[in-house]
Amino acid sequence: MSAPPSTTTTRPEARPAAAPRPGRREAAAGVPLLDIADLKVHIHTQGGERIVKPIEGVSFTLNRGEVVGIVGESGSGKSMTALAIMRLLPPGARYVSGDIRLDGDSLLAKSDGEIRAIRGRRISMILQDPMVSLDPLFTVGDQLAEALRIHGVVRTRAEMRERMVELLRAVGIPSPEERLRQYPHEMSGGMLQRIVGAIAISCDPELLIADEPTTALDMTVQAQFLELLEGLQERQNLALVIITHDFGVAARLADKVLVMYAGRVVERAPVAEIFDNPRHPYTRALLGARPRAGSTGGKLQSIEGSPPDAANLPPGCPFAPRCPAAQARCQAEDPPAVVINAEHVARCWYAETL
Amino acid sequence: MLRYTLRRLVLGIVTLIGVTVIIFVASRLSGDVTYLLLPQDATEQQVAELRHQLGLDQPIFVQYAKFVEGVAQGDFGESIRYRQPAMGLILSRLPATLELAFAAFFVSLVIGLLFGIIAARARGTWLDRVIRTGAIIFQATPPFWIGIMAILVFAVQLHWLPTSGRSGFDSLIMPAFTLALFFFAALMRITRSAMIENINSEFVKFLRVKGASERSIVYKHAFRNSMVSVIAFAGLLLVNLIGGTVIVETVFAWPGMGSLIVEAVTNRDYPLIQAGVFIISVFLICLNIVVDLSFGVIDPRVRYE
Repeated sequence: MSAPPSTTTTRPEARPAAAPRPGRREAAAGVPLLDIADLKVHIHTQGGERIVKPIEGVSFTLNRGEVVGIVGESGSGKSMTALAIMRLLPPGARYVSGDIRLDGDSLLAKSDGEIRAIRGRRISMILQDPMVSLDPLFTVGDQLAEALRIHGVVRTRAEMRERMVELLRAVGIPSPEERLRQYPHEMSGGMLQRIVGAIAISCDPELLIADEPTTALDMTVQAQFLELLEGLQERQNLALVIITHDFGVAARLADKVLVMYAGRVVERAPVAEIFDNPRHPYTRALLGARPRAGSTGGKLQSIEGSPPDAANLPPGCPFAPRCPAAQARCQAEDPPAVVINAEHVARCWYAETL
Repeated sequence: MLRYTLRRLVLGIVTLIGVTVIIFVASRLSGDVTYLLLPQDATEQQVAELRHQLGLDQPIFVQYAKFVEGVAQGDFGESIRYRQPAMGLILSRLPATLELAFAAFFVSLVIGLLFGIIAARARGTWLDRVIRTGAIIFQATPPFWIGIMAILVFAVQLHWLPTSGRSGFDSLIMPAFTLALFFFAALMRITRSAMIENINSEFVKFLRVKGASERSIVYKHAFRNSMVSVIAFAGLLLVNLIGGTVIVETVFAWPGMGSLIVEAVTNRDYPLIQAGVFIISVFLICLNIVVDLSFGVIDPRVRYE
């Protein structure tokens, strides 16, 4: 978005997050909005004799208005990466190395109070299951108002009311005034995920993380929600991290795709290139495993074996035990990131020749 | 909410009718009263006369109807031992029992919630372990022992509190705490586990995403959600307290209903037992209604059931 509207929320056509934000810096030229460099997160289990490595080397950058899709199987570290960005790691998990920068500013160096002021305001997130994302004892209106109040984005009651109605409209909820008075248990999953979305964008964040936002929804509702997410992203010029195990979702929304395996990014490329020219055997396997229109009958291809235990990674490439193209070298040495071109990197010894 | 309330009230009345049936049947099952009232060498005629006097020679349904008629008027007959209206005797002791039960309830609620929240927040640390161990010790120790030890220390040695009886606030402290210490452990554990469960829930994760403060997460959201299970249990606890004051009443010579009923049982003083059981039942039913209604106030999902 080139020029944020300077008037407040009175214009009906204004985007929902219309309040100008004093003190919000415009991005310095060349500094990406989100910059994650060599991030490693380890969990020391009881007694410390076991070390689980859910994130073992994740790097990527994201500009304003850009969409990155993070794809991988469960346990690949996708969700942990999302929590790491929010500074909401589970107890016991520690940042071991690397940094996460927002507008060039390290998030890991922030105090708890500082990070709370950023959460919900500059970085927000949509969780996987909308049915359990809201407090069952408070109305939808209460929970939406809470978000606005925490960050002080509205001043008067009337403004609050107006803003809430506008937000619900923005996420496509009919008769918002009525909905605000309802409790979460009175709504369907699709409706609730829209509410969660409205809360997540209520304070006009710069970065939105959506962690498998459609997994818990019905098929028909999934498509609607993705459409909504796409619309919001474009209208608000959001930087969006969409976490999914579904390449279709990534293909639809993302500008670039990260493929994660065993806590590391094994391939990173613009979305078209991931589909046309995948350079990592795991990416190829994942692409082969997805259902496609036209390929009627026959079995879906599956990837043999299962992902390695994050507490007990093999010495070489973590995918080697399942890799159809693995050589002796792969079992012994962890491959470096091979640069295919400026935008395309694959972590495989044979990325160029495969 | 109105329909919900009405339904609870109707259910309460139905339960009360059930209670009268049970009291009536149970007292008849435990043997013929006439042999208890008359000397062993009484003649057949004397027995028949007494049975007629007590209405025991009438059909069972007529007897029940008369019993219910009496109950409706608060008339349970005369205590066999005290020769006074049974209901009057029970009611004269009721305030002392209620005073003790509610004081103990309040104390165990306060310390149970307090330590439950502290333990939940300090989960896995030494503080958590100390609280949980302490709770187990108090729960495993019989109240009569705690009561006697308390008398020994605070009354006999230190002269801070009276040893027994019911004479103002001072005399309430030891019995109330003795009773409360036995019950607080369960409340503490319920609070702790409910708090831990809620703090680790997805909706709390989303609250954190919103940027909510730890304070609002713990005391506004997690606490309120935990209250649903705490209240269910607290209702049960109060019921237990009203029925369970006997031992403490005995240790501290507290002039309550519990000791009167125990005495009535040993004397087979049926009118007194019936009046006592009836009054306790009325309290339990009222308590259950209050608990159910407070669910409705706290949890919107209950209101729309």
